[in-house]
Amino acid sequence: MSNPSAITDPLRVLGLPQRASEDEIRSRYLELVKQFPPDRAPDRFREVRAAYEAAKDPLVVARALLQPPDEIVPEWAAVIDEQVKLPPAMNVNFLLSLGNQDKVAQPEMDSVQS
Amino acid sequence: MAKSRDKNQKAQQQQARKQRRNEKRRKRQDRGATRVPVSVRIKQRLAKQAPEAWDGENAVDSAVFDTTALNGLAPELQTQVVAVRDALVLVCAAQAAEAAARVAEIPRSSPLSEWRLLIRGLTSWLDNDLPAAKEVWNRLDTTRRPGRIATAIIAAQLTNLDVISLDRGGASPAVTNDAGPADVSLLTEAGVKNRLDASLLQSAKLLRRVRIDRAAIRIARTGSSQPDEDSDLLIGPAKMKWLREFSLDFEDTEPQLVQALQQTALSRAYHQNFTDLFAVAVGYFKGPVHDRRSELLSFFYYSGSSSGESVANRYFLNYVDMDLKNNERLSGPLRQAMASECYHRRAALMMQAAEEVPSYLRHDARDDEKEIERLLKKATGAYPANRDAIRTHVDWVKSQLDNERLTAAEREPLEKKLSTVMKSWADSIPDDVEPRLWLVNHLLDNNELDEAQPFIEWLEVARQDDPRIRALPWKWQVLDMMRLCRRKTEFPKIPGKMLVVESTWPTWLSKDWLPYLRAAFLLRAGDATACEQQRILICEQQNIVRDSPRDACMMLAAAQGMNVAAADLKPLRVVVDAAVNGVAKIPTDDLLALGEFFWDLHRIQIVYPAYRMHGSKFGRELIKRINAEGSKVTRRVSQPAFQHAILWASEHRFWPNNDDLKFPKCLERCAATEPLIAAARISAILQFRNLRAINDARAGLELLRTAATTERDSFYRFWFASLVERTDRAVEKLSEKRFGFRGMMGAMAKAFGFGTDDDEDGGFEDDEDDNDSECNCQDCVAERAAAEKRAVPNPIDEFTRRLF
Repeated sequence: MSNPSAITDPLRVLGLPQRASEDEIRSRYLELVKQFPPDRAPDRFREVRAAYEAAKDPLVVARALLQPPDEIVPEWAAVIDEQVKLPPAMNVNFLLSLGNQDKVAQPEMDSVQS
Repeated sequence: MAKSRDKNQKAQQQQARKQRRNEKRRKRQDRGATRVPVSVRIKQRLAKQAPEAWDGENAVDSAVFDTTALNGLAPELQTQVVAVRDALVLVCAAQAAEAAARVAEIPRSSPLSEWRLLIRGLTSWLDNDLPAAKEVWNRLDTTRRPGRIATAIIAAQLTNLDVISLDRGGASPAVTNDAGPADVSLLTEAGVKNRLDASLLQSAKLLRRVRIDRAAIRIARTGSSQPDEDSDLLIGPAKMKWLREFSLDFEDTEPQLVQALQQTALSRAYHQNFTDLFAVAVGYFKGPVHDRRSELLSFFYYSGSSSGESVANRYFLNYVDMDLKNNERLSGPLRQAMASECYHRRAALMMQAAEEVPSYLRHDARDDEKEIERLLKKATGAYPANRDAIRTHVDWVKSQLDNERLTAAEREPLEKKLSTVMKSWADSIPDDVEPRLWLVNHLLDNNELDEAQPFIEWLEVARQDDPRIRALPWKWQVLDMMRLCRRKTEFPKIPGKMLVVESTWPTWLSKDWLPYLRAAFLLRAGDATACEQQRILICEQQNIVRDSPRDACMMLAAAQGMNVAAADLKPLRVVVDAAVNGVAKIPTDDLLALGEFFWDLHRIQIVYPAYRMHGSKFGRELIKRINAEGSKVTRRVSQPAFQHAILWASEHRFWPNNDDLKFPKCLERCAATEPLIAAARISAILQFRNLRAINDARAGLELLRTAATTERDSFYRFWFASLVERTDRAVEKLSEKRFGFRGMMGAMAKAFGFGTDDDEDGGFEDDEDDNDSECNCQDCVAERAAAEKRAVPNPIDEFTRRLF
C-alpha cells in the first residue's frame, strides 16, 4: 500500500522543495525511478509514482508556487554549498567541441587559468 | 519644426550617453584593469569553442553538428544522426531516460552506435557515476569524435592536468613503443594520459575550469561573505551592486548559480523592512520562473504594510493579469491553475475579512460582495476543476442565502446562481458526488423530477456509502407521489405509490410521518371524514396530543406536500399559527418532539413551504429554554428527542442574532461525551464558514472519530465520518500559510480606516521614524542627502517611482 502522504504532500515524498517547478518535478521523478525501478523496489516505486501523479496536477504545483516566502532567511553560504553539488548544465556545442582535433593553441588556454 | 527639434535633442542625448559609457570604460581601464577578469576570459574562451571537423573526420561524426555533412548522408543514417542530436540535447537537459529512448533504435552495426555508447556514458557521468561512464566509454574508438569527447571528459577529472607533458619523444599518442602496445585504457590514469594530444588536453583543461574548478563559486563565496553596511541589514546596497556585477559576469557560464544567488538576494531583501532596498533588489534581480519580475513577491511584501494595500493590489493585478498570463515558460494548464488559485485565495481573503468585520461597519460592503463574486467567477473560469474554488463559491452563495431577511425576489437569483455553480461543478469534476446530490435535491424541490432522474441514476450506479444518496430513489418516489396528487385523474395511482414509498422507507428515518401522508391524501381526495379518522388513529398509535405543535406541523407539512386545496389547508395553518403565537407556553417536551420531526425533514431535505414562516420561531424558543435550564439540561441530553432537536437547531447554527455562532453554553460539556451533541456543534461550526472558528471544532472531534466506527445507526455512522473528514480538511486549510495574510489585516484596516502596524508592540508610529522603511546605513543616508542637495530625484526613489 502506498504512503498516503504521496498524495497529500507529493513534493515532500519526491524530496523536492515546496516551490519546485514542473521541470524539476519531472527530472526528480526520472531520477527516483532510476533509483527505485519497479522490479527491484516495487513499493517505493509505487509511492514515487503516486507522488509524481499527484505532483503533476497543475493545481498542486500552483498551490506550492503561490506560497508566501519561507520565514527562514536563506544564508549565502548554504546556497553556494548547494550549488557546488550542481555543476553548470552542459551545452551541446561545447560538449561536441571537446572532441576537436589540432585546433587549439597552447598559450591561449593557459591564459584562462584563474 | 518641433519634430526636428525633438530629433536633435534625442541625438544629443544619445551622444551624451555614448560619451558617458566611453568615459566609464576608459576609467575602468585606467584603474589598472590590465588583467582581464577570469569570468571574461572564460567567456571569451567559451565563445571560441565550437565543434569543428578535422580533415578526414568520419562524415557520420561531423554530421552530428554540421548540416552540410548531414545532407550528404544516406536517408537512414540521416535519421540516426537526427536521433543522436536530439538525444544529446536531452542528455544535457538531464533527461537521460528520454535520451536513451531516442537512440535505442540505432543498431549496433551502425557507425552511429559509437554515439549511442557516448550518450549512455554521459548519462552515468552526469549522474556522478564516473566508474560506470568509464566502463562504457572504454569501448569507444579513440580516433573518432565520441571516443575523443569521452577522453577529454575523463582527463578533466585529473588533478595534475596543468603539469601533464605531451612530449613523448615525437611519438603520437597511443603509438606502440618497444615495450609493446601503449596503455590507452580509460580505466587507468596512464591510459588516459596516453590518449591525450594537444587538443584533447586543452579541451580537458577548459572543461575542468568551467565544471570542476568553477571560479564563480570561489568568487561568490568571497563576495557574499563581505559584511553589509549595517549589522541590521540582510542585504545592503554594496552587496546588491556586487551581485549585479557578478551576475553579468557569470550569467552565461553559471546560470543556475547566478539564479540561486539572485533569488537569495530577493529573499533577504524581502525579509528586511526597507522598502527602498527591496525595490532595488526587485529591479536588479530576476525571480524564479513563475515570477520573473517578482510581482508576486512584491504583492506579498506590500500586503498589509502601512498604506501598502493599494500598491499590493496593483502588484497582484500585474502578476495575474499580465505577468502570469504571458509567462510562456509555464505550461498552459499551470498558468490557468495559478490564476485560478490567485483569484480564489484573494476572494477567500476578502470573504474572511468581511466575516471579521460586521457589514454595518463596512461602508463598501456591497462593492466587496461584487468583487468577491467577480473573483470567484474568474477563479472557477480560469480552471474549472479547481474544487476548492468551486466549494468557496458554493459557500459564498449559501452564506448569502442564509440571510433570513431575504425576500423571495432577492432569494430567487441567488438560488439560480447556486444552481449554476453546482451544474458547472458537476460538469467540470464529473466524479464528485456533492454537486449531483445537491442538484437532485434542488430539482426535486422544484418539481423537476424528470431532470433529476439522470442524476439519480448516476448516483445509484456510483454505489455511494452515503445513506442519503441511497435514499434518493425513495425520495424521488415520495415527490412523484406528491406530484401525482396535483391532478385528480392521477389519484388512482396514489395508493400503489404509497405502498412503494412505505416499502422503500429508509431504515434510519422515523416512519411517523407516513400516516400523515395518508391522511393528507384522503383530505386531498375530498374525504375529510376519513382523514379525521386517520388523524385520531395517528394520535393513538404515536401517543401524541392532537393539535400539539408536532401533530400540527406534521399534518401541515404532509398536506402542503400532497397539494391539499387552499381551503382545506387553512384550518391546518391556523393551528400552527396559534402554536407560534403561544410559543412561550408550549411545553419543552413538545418543542423537542417538534424539533425531532424537523430534523428528519432536514436530513431528507424535504422542507415544506410554510416551514420558513414558523420554523425559526419554534427553534429560537427551544434554544431559549435550553439556555434557561443551564446545567440542569444534562438530564435530557441522552434523550433521542433532545439530541435530534439539537441536531435540527445546528442546521440553523442555533439562530444567531449576529454573525457569531450561538451554541448553548450549557451543552459545551455534553459535547465532550455525547457524539450527537458533538456532531451538532461541529456541523454548526462547519456551516459557519469561518475558518478561524474551525479551531473550536477540534473539541469533540476525537469522540466523533471513534463514534464514526462504533455507531450502529448507518446514517449517523456515515455522517460522523463525513463531519470528521470535513473538519480535518478545514483544519488543514487553516494551518496552511495564508495567502497574503497581511492582506486580510489590510482589509480590516481599510474597513476601520487605519493603517496596520507591523511592529510587534502594535504601538503608534513615531513621527520621527517616518523613514524607518528606508535603509539608514551611511551610504544610503549620504546618497539621499546628496540627491536632495542636487534637487534631483534619489535614484532609489526614482526607481521605486518608475516601478509604480
